[in-house]
Amino acid sequence: MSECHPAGEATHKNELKLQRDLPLIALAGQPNTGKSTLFNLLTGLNQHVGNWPGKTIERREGVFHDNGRSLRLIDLPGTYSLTANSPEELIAREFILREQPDLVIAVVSAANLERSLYLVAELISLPTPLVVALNMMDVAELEGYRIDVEVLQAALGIPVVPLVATRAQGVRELLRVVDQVIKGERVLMPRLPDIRADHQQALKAIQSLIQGFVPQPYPLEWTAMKLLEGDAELTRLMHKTLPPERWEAVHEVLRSHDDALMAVASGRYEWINRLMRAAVARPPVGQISLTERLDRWATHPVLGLGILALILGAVFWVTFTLGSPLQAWLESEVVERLASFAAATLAPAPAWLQSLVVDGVIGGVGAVITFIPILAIFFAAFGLLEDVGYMARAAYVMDNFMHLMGLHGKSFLPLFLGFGCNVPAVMGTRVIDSWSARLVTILIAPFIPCTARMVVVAFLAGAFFGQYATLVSWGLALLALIMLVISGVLLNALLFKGKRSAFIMEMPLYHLPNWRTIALLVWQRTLAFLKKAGTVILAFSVLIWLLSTLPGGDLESSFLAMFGRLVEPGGRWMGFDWRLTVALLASFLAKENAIATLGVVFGSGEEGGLSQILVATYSPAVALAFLTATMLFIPCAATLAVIKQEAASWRWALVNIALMLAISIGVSTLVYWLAKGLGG
Amino acid sequence: MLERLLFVLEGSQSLSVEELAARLQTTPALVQMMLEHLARQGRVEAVEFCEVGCEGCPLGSHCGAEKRPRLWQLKVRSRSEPR
Repeated sequence: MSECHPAGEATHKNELKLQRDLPLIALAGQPNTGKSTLFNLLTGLNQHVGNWPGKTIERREGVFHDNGRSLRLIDLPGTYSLTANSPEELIAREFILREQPDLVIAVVSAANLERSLYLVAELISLPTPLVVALNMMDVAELEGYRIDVEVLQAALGIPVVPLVATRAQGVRELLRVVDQVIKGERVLMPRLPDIRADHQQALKAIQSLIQGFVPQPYPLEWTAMKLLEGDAELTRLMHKTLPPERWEAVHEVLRSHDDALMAVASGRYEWINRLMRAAVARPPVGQISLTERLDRWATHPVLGLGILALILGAVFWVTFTLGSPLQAWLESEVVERLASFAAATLAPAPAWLQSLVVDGVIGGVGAVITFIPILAIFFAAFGLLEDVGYMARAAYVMDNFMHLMGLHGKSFLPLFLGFGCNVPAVMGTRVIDSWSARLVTILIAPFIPCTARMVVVAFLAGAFFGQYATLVSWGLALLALIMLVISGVLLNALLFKGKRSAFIMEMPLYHLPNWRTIALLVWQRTLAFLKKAGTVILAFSVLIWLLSTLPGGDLESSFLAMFGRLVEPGGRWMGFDWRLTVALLASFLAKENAIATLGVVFGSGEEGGLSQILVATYSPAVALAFLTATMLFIPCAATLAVIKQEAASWRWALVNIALMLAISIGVSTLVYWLAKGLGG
Repeated sequence: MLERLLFVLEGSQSLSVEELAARLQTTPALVQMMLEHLARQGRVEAVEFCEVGCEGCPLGSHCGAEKRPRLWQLKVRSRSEPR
């Protein structure tokens, strides 16, 4: 097919001059359809690489020999259409129109036929003869697509040649067809995309207005279509060329058909769809991809919600089956032993120092450090669900709730982030254009149970409810989401009154998890947690210890107790004593501080670990109310600071505090009295 | 076809690309193309997770935002209230 012509520069120029008389073929196609592979296959070393005049875009031209004659081949820049959206598209269409090649070969990917056919829809509307090289047939077959080439050819009205350019399969047949078309031995009857009847009248009106004024080499009908389509380049050209009154008349037609821009493209998509339906068979049911099969269940409006609830339940079950025993082991074998060791070691030291280390540091930070197994399981579970592609489906089925709240689709993106941490959830509301929708989303985002809150709940639920811990934690997570929806509905009615718009979601394919990614994520987040334990929580534990020790060293007469008794009446509705009330308030700085505070206040020692002491001190009704309050309590300080920053006012941060405080106290009080009434 | 797609977006029911393709009796790839086309025309917009929220976010480096889905919705022409 190709011949090598090693020659000097002068010889090369002479050759190029001679080549201008050869039949000219242009290769057109999208990037990555194998156009260059076919060009190299046909021309071999007999090619010249330069730039398109005035552009930095590569121009490749060559000569090949077939059936005893030479042909010139131009590799046009890869383009998706022929509308002047990019320099490549402009070069390709100007070349075809000005140079008028004898033939254009549209190289299309059989594995990605829809995309390739859009360009064909434009090429087929030009007067130059067109042949379709249906490349990558092997890839399409591997993916289970069956393309009926005969049907495609009949539907297009032009030759279609199946090809595997990488293996030179089908090239002979392509060259045979090229030869027939160039010699005029094959009649082409291209079937063009249609546009709606009312726009066809507009097209005809434009044609009659511009007739006689269209500069060479632009075809009249094509120019009229491009004007209707709103092509910037052609509009500029015709504005310059037409007499003002004619241009005004054209402009009037265009103005009265301002939706024609979409109608022209729409006609092309209809045309592609017809071709696809006629000529392409999708993989049979047995071969439908795993993603499609799983999504029939996972994205189902009802079943999907059931699956989501089950998965959430399973995450809690794994947490309590694996995490809680490890947490208990850390508490009894590490923290308690460390406390005993520290107490023994520091026996000769002043009592305050011993108390600071044992009750303050080990009691506070130690209690929080025992979270690590639970935390790691949460991170791994959510990391796994995200990595396999499930979390996108979870978010999608949750959209039914967004519907109830009348929120924009965009609102649900930040809410989805809230499961990790409420801070990025609030920051993520920046994607929402409407201020009121954004504000509603900011205000409800802290209801999403973040990892820190879930870990605190998991720790306490495990301690208080043993075998029922999974059910309790699962119920609390669902309760938080129900409160989110109720608040959203109310806030929407009060502030937003917006009409919700639909969205289309592109979901990632399901795939096997990458364990390294998940391990890295667990490691990074655990490290971040440890840093928090070593800084914020440590400092807070020491502060709580100071307040619980001063002024006289006795807890019941300490500053902390004084403060606790001051706020205790608020907690009493929910069955809390001053210690639980203070622990709940302490969670404002960081959710884990609730446990750190209880750790400092109750300590850990001979009477057992913190969880045992808590079970012995409080009834199940109080415990359930405390868990409910923790789940629904005001957001942490970091989240509130971000709310202030994003809402650009403390007013909305205070509204959020008031809203969540009212809901957490109200619901927890109800839970306490109901549980107490049931004998808890 | 583009008109029918816009009609669905103007409604209130959110769909996955696959569901929309089934509703329009076409392929997900063609739906994707049409959405991209409408986005170029400024009629719809693609919304990415954290597209602006990552800026200054403390979890930015390891929240896995790149693996999250992309949404398409009608473009809101103007903000009702500036920040």
